[in-house]
Amino acid sequence: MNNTPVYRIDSLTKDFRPRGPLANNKITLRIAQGEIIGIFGPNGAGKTTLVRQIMGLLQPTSGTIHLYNHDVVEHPEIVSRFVGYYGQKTLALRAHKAREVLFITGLFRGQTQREANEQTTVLLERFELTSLANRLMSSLSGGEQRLIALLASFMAYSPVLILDEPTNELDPVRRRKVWEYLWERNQEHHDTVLLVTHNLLEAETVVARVVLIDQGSVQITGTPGELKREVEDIVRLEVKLRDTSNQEAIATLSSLPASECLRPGHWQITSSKGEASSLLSTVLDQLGMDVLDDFRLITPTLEGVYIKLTGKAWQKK
Amino acid sequence: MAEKMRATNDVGQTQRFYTMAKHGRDFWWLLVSQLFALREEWFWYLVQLAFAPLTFLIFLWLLLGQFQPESMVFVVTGSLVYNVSMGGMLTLGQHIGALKDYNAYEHYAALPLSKWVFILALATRGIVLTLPSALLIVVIGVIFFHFTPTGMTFVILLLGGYALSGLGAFIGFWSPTARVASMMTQVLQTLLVLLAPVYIAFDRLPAVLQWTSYVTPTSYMATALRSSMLGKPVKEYLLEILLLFCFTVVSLGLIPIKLRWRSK
Repeated sequence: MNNTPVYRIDSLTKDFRPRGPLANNKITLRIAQGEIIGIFGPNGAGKTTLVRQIMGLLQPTSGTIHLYNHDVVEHPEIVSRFVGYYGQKTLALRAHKAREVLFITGLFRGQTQREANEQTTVLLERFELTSLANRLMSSLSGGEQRLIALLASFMAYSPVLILDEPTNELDPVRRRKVWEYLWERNQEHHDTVLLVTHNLLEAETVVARVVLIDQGSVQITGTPGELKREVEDIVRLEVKLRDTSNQEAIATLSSLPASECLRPGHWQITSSKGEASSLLSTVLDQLGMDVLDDFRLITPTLEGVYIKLTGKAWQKK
Repeated sequence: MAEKMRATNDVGQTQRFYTMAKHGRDFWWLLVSQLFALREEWFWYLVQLAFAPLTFLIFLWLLLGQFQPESMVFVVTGSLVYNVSMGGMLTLGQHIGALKDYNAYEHYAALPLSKWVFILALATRGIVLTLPSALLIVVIGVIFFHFTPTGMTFVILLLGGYALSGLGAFIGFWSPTARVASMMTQVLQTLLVLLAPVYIAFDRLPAVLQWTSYVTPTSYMATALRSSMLGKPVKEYLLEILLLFCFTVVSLGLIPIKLRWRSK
């Protein structure tokens, strides 16, 4: 990966007031060629606003955005020449057949009919959608429509892909196929991928750099490894009781330091990495396997990083 | 030096050729893509575009035409203008509003497509959808009222459709939702058709409406259509055709400059 900036974003601010709070607040970011960058943050953090601005679909209040040294604020139309985009809302080209959505998008992106046809076939086969190729979009399920729209953004091999929650509504098999495809595009074509997703555990396997956004500002940026080192001394032991009203087990778990009842019968205990084995022994010895329905020891994840750095539970916000 | 300049010019010309070729191809595929809507809803488009103008035609024939046959040229051409204004302006404005609501609009905005080509394709879609019902009204005019349309009649219908499309596009882009676009286009259509010299002769309008009619394309379209349906020579309505052409240039050439692809 070289360090040629694909995107150069400086002090980007988007103010929707009085309709809402400051959506983006002086965001400065560099995205290099061939990088897979993940933008994470809770709902309403300002991720989609950021993405729509760098796509040229939303005019910033202030700040600058440069794509390959082209001024995106002045010339937003330049973005579509380089970037394949998948937006958060469902695309509703109801009267198109699935194949046509891909084929025509390829043509609009400058492919010849032959090239567009070939890539359409390849993508439909790879994602096992050949049987849906000639069905109208209106007859497909929500997940299938979203997947077709996502595949359309892959047409014509744009050097940059910006994907806003690409795996929402997809089943686990298709989600995995999407991550594999993005990884391959990045490795084979050196394409740059910017991902916005809530699916931290899955995205973690492909992203090279993480940007955490909250309340419109970048909270922290770094490689997943760098960010995990921020919380590396913390592990979590999750315990599920067989009998949720077992008072003796509840008392034992309550007495452990840094224990938390997530919901009836479901506990979480955090400790340093060095104390993990003694914690596990304590829990197993004091409770016994018969009392437990399930347990698992969780090492640092990006989700953990998020929880520590923002001080909020990811799902609770 | 001269050779270098010539080579630069050649590169520029080749690039322009490819740009024009891409625009042409984009226009065709955008139009095809827009007409896919006919797969599921062709019958309803036909009903929507034909119903109101035909109803007006029948209503005005019952009210007036039976007793004053000479007024039928106003009734038939007025219904044609009504029909084209529905396809060229009303459905276009509503369609662009709906594209925004469905997010299909953002799909196109994120593709390397010219704004002009996009609007031209949408306007052409409206006109293509209008053609069957317009043809039906012309045939009624020929069979029942013995009018003699010429090739110019169809040129006027096309020019009128494109001239009105800019207004529809403007409302569609400007409106925050499809619902607002729908209401606005209906209001504007009523003003442009019923308060202009379309169904009514110019000299029967109040002075204020006579003045406003100078800036409405529907006035020139109706005048030119009446002349062509009565078989008059082109030179008698050439001015109206030229003015319609000017409205078309403004509509498709200048209005898109002011239209925003992107949200604020």
